Amino acid sequence: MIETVNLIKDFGNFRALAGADLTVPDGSVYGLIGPNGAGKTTLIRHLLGVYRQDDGSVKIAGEDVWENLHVKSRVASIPDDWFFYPQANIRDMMEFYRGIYPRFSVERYEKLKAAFDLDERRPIRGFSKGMQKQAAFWLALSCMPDYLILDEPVDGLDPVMRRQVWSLMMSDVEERGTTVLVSSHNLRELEDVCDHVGIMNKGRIVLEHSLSEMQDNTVKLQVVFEEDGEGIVSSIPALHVSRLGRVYTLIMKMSAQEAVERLAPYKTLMVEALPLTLEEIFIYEMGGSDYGIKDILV
Amino acid sequence: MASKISWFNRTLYKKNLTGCWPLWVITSILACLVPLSVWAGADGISKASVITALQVVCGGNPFFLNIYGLIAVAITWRFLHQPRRTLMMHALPLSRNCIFLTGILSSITVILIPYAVACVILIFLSIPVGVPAAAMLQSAAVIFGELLICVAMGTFCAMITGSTVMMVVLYFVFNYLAVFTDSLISSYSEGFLFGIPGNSFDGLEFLSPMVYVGDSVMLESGAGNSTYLQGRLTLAVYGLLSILLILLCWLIYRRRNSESAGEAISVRILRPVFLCGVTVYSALTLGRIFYTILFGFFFGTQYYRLIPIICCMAAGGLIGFLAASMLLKKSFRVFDTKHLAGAAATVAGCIIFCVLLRADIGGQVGYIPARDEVSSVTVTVNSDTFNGNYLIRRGENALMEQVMDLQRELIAEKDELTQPGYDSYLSSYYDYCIVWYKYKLVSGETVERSYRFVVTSEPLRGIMESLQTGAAEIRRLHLDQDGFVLEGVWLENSYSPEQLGSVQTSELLAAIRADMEDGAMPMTDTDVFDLSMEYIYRDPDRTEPSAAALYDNIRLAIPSAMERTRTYLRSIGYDSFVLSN
Repeated sequence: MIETVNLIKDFGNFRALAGADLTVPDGSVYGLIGPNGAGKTTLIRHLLGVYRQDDGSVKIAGEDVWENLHVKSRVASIPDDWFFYPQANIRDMMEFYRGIYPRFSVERYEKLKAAFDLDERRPIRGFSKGMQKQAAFWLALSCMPDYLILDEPVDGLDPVMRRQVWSLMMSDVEERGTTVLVSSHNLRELEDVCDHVGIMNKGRIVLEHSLSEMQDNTVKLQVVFEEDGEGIVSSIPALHVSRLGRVYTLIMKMSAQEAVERLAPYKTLMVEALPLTLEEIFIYEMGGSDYGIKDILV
Repeated sequence: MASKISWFNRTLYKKNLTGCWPLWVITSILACLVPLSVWAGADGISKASVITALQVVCGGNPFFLNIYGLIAVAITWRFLHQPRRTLMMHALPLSRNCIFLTGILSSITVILIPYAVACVILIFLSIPVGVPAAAMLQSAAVIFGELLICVAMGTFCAMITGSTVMMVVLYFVFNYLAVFTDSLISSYSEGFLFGIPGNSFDGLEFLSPMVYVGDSVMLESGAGNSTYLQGRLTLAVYGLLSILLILLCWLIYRRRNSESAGEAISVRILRPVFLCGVTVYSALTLGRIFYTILFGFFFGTQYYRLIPIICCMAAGGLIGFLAASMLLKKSFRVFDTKHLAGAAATVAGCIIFCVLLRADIGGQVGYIPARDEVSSVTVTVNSDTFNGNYLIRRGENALMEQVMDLQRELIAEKDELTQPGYDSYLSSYYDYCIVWYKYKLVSGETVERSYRFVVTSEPLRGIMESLQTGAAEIRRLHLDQDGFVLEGVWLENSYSPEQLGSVQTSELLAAIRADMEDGAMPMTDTDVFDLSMEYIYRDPDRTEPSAAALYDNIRLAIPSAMERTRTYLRSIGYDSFVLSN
């Protein structure tokens, strides 16, 4: 399990993490989402043992991460700007990782060669951004990690390669019980692969659930009232209300059944519960955290 | 495979070495030139030529390390100065202990490779004439000791900053700061305190390790082809201090924040030190430059006027303070109220510094050592009318009192001699006088003073004339002085100096003495001269056998009034240009 408790980090006068509590169950694929500057990358760097927290704790498999070689040898990461030695090719980097990661598998590396159509003797600096990302995945998966921590990992990959790397990671999750934490702004993609989601804002995890739980707990209702509904909707606890003609769209933080029961006392012509996408949940949750879409025309 | 030892990683070590292979390959090729030049030299290879080569290597080692060594250290620690590299390195399953020790070892290895290559070739070439093993081991000690200093200083600079450029700047600052500070102190003392000379007192050189060790530690030749290492203790002490500095670097690195990559100063507690240091040195350096440009010629005196120098120092200090603030903040936006207090403190500091110096709290200007405290005093008087060079030792009370009287009189006329425009007045005067004092005290301390003035006042003229008496000049030539052994007298012929034999020396000195007793004086210590005499004497306060002998070299021009001397010199075939004029 990956766990941070009351994680605090200041950069000078700026508080980047303000008591972040994160829990990633073992064997899960956890999507960490949040607006720009929410503290996702800072949190990830704590999980990798790069940053040391000012307060709170950062644990993986029950052990503190900072200067813990045993834990760090079980973690592989792909940061948003992956570093490789300027003169190195993939083979050189493989030799380097092999000498550093005790569980590095050359056999796996050779097997993965077929999945990534890359010339391992060509300098990595000559690769496109997407090819460099592929190289990073190739090496990270060859480290045989128990924990895979990814920051904007599929940025720059073409759709086919995206599917390829997700498929490789999913097979690792299935076969080896690898825990994956992935930070991304591509919510559509996360929705397909994640079983847990954490929403981060202003240095805190504001919402953390399994994806199904999250979708069950937030509902989108389309309602048509017999009479004027303005007075009714103002008395209902909704995250968001919009109206198109006589059709009201309500986003409510409760189960569909609960929401329908809430509307039962009112005369309605139509009540329809629709499933929410992760993107909608994010947008409406963040709207509640003062990060809503502003109707500003310039 | 990962190393089993958590303090060292073979892969990282290899990567550090291969990451800069062009550097050490090229340097090794250049290093090969040293043994090859010995081999190809005119005298061929011999033990003596090998030792000479080793001496050259030891002598040039600090310079070499300041370039090649520093580059090697900078390459090793560059990952600390680039955020992406830092992120990668610290995310790897390597402990900071391991990264640090591996880094230190790889720095040392990269630096040692060219030496090792040159050494192997030198040993190979010197096998036919016998390998000077002792000299090689001594050279190895010098190289390794200085290498440790370079690695320790370079690593320390790399640890406290987040930028490679700053690391290089700090390395040279730390290695030359003491020498620079020394010159600044001398310059400000000279500018504020009447009579304090502007020469460096070398008291801080030990704080510049590479300079100090480079100057103190040498491979010296002994009898035959033997060698000995001068400054062994210094080398050992600085070697030990370097190891302690490396340990301090290790502690800093263990606590260093990865996010400090890119910062000017990455250790939080050193930021105020950096800010203050840059401010103080800017105030002193720029203040002096501004004053010279703006007011130096206007006031026409070497002595600073209080208000202008305060203004110049404050301006220099503010420039330094704002520049340092910009570096720390990584922004030009430092002109705000938050920085106002620092700027005000800078100006206040400049005012206090100048006022304290001008007040001469230590009483340096009026200080003349008591006669009992003085072991010897050397007084040099230079002008057209008055000149002389007197080495007065303890016990010669009358003459010592005379030169002290002269100093007292000069101090009494301080206000006159330091008024604005006095330097311009001096330079327009046909005959101004410079007097240097160098007191050696019984305690071992040295007190130096220098004065420039025109002999206009009557008391001053009286004292100056009293110093020009025949007795004083005979004293100057040590003719009646115990403890001075005449090493030799040389005639300054047109081709080369010719040493006189003992009989000729005695006859010449008798002629000089006779002339001087008649009132005809030689001119001493002139640039153009007929004779030079060299005496050996010992410091009266250093009675131990190992005390080094001292030398007094006196140059004499023989004027036409010294007829006996001129006649004798002509009789032995000497007739120089100076004589005929």
